[in-house]
Amino acid sequence: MKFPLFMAAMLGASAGAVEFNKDIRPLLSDNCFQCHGPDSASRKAGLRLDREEDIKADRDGIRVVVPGKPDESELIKRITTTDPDEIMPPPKLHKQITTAQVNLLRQWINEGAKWQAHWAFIAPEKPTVPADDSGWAVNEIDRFVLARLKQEGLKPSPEADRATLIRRLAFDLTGLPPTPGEVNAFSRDRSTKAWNKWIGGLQKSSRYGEHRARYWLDAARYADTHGLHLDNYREMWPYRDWVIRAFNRNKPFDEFTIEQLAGDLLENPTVEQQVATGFHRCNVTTSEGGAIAEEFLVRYAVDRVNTTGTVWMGLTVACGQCHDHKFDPISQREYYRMFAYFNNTTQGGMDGNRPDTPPIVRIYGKGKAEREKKVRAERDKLSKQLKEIAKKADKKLDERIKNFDATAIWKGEKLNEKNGKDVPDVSLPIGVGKPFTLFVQFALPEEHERVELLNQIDENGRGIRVWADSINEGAELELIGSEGPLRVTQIKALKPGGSRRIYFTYDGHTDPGSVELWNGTRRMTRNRYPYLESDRFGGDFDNDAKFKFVASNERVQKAAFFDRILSAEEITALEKRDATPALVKAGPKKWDKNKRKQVLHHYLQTQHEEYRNLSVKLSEVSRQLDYLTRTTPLTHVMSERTNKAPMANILERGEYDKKRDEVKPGVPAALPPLAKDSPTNRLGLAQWLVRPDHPLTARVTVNRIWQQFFGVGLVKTAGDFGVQGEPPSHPELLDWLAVDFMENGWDMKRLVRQIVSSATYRQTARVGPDLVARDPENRLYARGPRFRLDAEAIRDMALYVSGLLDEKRGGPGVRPYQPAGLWKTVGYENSNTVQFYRHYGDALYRRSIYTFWKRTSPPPNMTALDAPNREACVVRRERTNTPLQALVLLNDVQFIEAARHLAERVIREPDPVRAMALHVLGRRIDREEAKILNASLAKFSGHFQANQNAAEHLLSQGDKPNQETSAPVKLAALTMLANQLLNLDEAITKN
Amino acid sequence: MKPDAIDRFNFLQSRRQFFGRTATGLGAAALATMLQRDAVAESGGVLPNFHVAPKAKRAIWLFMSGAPSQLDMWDYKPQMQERFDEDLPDSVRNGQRLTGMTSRQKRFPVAPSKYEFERHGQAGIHVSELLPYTSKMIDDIAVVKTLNTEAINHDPAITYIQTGNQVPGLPCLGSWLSYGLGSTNENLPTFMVLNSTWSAKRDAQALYARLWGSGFLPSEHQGVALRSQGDPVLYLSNPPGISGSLRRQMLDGVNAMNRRHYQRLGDPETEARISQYEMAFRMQSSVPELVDISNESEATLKMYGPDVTTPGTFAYNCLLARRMAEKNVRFTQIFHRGWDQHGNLTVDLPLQIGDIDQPCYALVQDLKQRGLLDDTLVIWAGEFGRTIYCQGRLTRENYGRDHHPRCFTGWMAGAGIKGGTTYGETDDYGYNVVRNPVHIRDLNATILNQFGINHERLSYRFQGLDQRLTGVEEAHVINDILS
Repeated sequence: MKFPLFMAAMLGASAGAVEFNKDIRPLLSDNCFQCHGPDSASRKAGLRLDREEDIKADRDGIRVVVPGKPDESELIKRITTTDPDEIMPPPKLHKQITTAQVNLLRQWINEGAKWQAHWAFIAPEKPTVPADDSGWAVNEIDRFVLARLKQEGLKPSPEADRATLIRRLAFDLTGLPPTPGEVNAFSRDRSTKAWNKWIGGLQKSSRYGEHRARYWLDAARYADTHGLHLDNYREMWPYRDWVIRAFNRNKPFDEFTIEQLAGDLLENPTVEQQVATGFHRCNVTTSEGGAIAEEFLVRYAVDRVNTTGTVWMGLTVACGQCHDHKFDPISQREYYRMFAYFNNTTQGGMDGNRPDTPPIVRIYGKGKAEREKKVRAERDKLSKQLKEIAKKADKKLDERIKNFDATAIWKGEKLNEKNGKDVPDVSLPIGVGKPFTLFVQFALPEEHERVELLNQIDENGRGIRVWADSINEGAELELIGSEGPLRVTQIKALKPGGSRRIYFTYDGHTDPGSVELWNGTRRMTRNRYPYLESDRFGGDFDNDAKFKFVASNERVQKAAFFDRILSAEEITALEKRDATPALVKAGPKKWDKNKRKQVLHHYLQTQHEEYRNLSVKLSEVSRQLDYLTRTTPLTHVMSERTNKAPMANILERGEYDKKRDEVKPGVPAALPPLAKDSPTNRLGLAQWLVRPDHPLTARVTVNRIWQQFFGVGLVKTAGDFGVQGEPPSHPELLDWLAVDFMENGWDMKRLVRQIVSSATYRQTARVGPDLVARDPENRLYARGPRFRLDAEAIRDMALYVSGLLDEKRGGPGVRPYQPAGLWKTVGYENSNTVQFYRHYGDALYRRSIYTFWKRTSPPPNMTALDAPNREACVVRRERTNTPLQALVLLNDVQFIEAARHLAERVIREPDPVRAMALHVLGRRIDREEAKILNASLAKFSGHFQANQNAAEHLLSQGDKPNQETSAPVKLAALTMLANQLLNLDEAITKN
Repeated sequence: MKPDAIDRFNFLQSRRQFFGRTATGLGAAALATMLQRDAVAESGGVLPNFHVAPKAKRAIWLFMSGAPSQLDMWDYKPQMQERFDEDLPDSVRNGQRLTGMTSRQKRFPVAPSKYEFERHGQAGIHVSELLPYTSKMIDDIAVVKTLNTEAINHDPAITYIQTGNQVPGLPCLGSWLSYGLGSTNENLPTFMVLNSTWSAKRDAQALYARLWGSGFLPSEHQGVALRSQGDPVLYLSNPPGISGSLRRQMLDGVNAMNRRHYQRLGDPETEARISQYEMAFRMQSSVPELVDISNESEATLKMYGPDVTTPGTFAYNCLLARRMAEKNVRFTQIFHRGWDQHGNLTVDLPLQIGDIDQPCYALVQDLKQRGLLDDTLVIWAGEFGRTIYCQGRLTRENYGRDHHPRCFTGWMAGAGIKGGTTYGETDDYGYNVVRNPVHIRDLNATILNQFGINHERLSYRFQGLDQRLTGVEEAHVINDILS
């Protein structure tokens, strides 16, 4: 859509002299710059209208603009002529200059055609704060707002009531509503310092960072999957937690910037500073078979340039990828100079579909790094020892094998292997801390079928179970603990049909990595994110029941059990047990290198006691190391190639294989230059962005934060401060805030405090039809902000008021309820996120910022409410109002369950209706409202009284049962009422 | 039901004249706003008027995800039989890049199609024996043999054809239509998406929510997926224990409270919320009605084939698409996956075609019988084509084909499309376009054109640019296939 006509009219309403930046440049930009702007390639007739010297130049006697003389100005002639060959803009562009606009241009020329540089490229200076003689203003913000209101002939609205105020503040600072107790306390706190005290208190809460981080993560395009093609899991959450901590610790925005863009390039960077660079590892990546790495490396760098441009500079630099920017002073060369900063990464073009695409860092807990080092050293030592023994033995092998019974397995071990039908049920001691290996040979059916091979389940339902599955061509081990199961499935591991031999090993821990699958001698690639129903099982699964061969008759041909983990060598020895004797018999002359190795290792495993003991030891140590590694969180970071300096080639039309001139890193000439001693890498770029004379960074940042509180920024186009962006509604206020922000150490908490302290913020949102018509988006602030809460805040609110919210902080993404089949419908079969397994227990009730984000199929209840899919940088969410949103809030089990628990929370209150409303709306309802709600409740009660089964059904929605079970009809009716309240416009809106 | 877009066209034209005569003082800007409001008020679209006379009121896009082999279905190259296993000449490949899957292949041997082609219809158009049903309706459709794209891998290519850009983040065609023209049915979403089951090997290429996403357009314009499992529309059903009448009572309570809140604060958004909740309630009955096919006649069901009664099949989805067309759903897109035949083509391709051939035919015939084909545009294509050279092992009986962006085949029918035509020609190897190339931008421009929209004039200001479905490059309507 075009620049809204309404705004154009409104912003231009302060009549008087024409102002170039406000009135004329947008007009020229919209209508002329496409062919007569900064882009040299598409410039027509060599004419440029974006620079004063060009527009006023004498071109062979023709002057586009003659100051003071509109009738002599070619500009006016060409836009008013009726000659179709002369008229500008040319009709084929479908642009039209209106009579009003022509008049504006005439007036401008008449008044001397005064030129101004584009406002956003001039460093802001602190303007004089207007006076306020009304006493309304609390701080500077109000004085600027009031001055504008006066100009418009408007007055501010009175302060909102106490209950509304505290609810607004709590949502804005923490993303959660106040409790009834807090509403009460605040309402009674009449001291002059009350407001500031409450702001301070809410800002101290760790919820503050969780709420602020949410906005930033939209801009950072944070998610838990790679985004393209397979869309596999990406371990990235430590970056998300870093952002939350940064807001809670009030990291100054300049540091916040430098660490995220270039933390790795700081001197001796801490792990935290490296984690911060995850900002630019959040872009989507691919590993599609056949994709061309070079092409994607270009796309990744492009994404990083564009995102940096949008987030810090508020500039749509993207145009520069293919050609000079048509409106803003960014040439294609300058674009590739910025590109060069991001073109020196050690990252590869293909993500490998791995959760840990290098470069990454691991985040060790206390003492863990040392421990890992120690274990690694031990492992290396053992490996070395074993190699030496093997080397020695190899020399004598030909001799030794003469008396070697190759059918033996290994010393000291009796193989407990039984054949099919005759296999008696066997008992194996199992439980946490008790490793085992389980071998099964079975027939995997051709047709789609899932078969249970064996189980050891006790009467309490605890134990283990093994499945094979020709649907997913995989096998599954299920460990069923007393508080929940762990299922580890490896799909695409087995070919259907024929006889299959698999080994499941379990190392005694409780995480999914504790289980491994071997297909014969092949260790199936283990993933940090296998298909899981849960991340770990609850409780223990100790039992002494016997294994039952469930499918023994047809499927299970052989089975064996070991009360420890078999090493790779042992499994190989077992698998080659039939082949090796023949090799031995054939004699050394018939062996190639591999066969010789096979015989040697068989010999060592079965005949050489020292080797065998050490190898069992090695297997244990390797598992220890594996456990340490796999339980250490990791995250993706930026890392610079050290053997090359950053550079880039200009790419013709942005195509990766059309390399042209080479350029060095640098910044656009229209902006301040880099400092002389500035490093020529990302660090230099980051430092440049937070220079005090940078005209954009501070403005763009304060604007985005303003937008969080008022719904729309002072500059509505939060990602575009360029010539085509919308000019600020309050330019002086924006500049004042930007300079003040920098002068006070880029202090984000302080800025937030300034905004919410203002009288402007505290106004009532009540509005009459006249003001709605005049200022529908509340750009003048003659009333308080009112808009629908974001998706996350709505879900969190419902969980919070119902008492379900689990406020555990940080950690891997969680997967709460989601309708079945969504991932499967779109996903690639081989993707490790094709199957959605939801979590159980507390994970269902975490704050939404911790919800697992799969980009190609994001949580549907969030996207319905305008959450972006996180594939690209978003600095401003749309806010829509749709029937699909209503369906989510009415029917999603998450919200129904919340309603059920909210009902329980108030059921014993003397007036449950009022109590419930107080939780949800944060205020006392009036008599009329009580009447409406009580009438609803009476209907619901009547309904459930007559349909008691319906009450039971409703009360069984969601995992967490109610404690209060004595009055199901009453509870169901109150659940319905809670559902009604949670769907109110008032409930889901910041009022 | 609201007046449909085409009927409104004339009305708005006269309205425009009215304002033009009497309201000169208002200025064009205000006039545009007022006209815009008219359009908004009636259908929620932003376009004040059509740019060209519209032919289509609605469209059904049959998307074959994975890239069907044009060489075995449409683009008849009998000359290739003699060149079996010969190397593709470099002069033909002419610098075309290869995917990582065949770039290490030592040879690029020609794999002629195993299938017979015969002439069909009045124009005698060649169609493969694999498409017995589609060939029966060849006089209804226009076959475009020279579709082309730059993208060579699935994810970028499908994103490109859907949104006009290979990089995620832009709105798709359906969202643009919803944004530009709004809705003509107040009980159903404007843009619906149906995902289908498929018969070839299981690891089909993925789809992505972005393919029906609204990008930078408001999310109300995103496609609503109609599902064959669980609720047809997400969260549509009341939870167990809540009946329709109870829900009604509850919504009455919600409305009463919301009205009170509106009286208190005066925010029009509250009123909008009331109407959205009412629409949600209506959808709770209109969507189940939509997917209830029990009143379809035996003859109709038979026409779509035996799969039609199995939810989620392509046949079932085609029938639903026709039902949606009847209810004026503006844009329906059916995705069918599994067309990525890198190998084992002669086993998997017939399975895939088995899923779609009869239903495609039935859909077009069904629309025609009901008089809906005249203003319903039907589009069939994938995201790119497949190579004449073989990927992997080549025999006369079996072969595989890699991705080929330089040319591929699609077809259109209905809504002003000239049936019984073919457009564009490729070289003997089916490798390069020799006449009348149709970039995927041209395809999108043509679709918009049939809806009365000039693709250059449906735009949205985002990141400083007037963004369009067809992007910044030139695009041309394929006039030769229009009647």
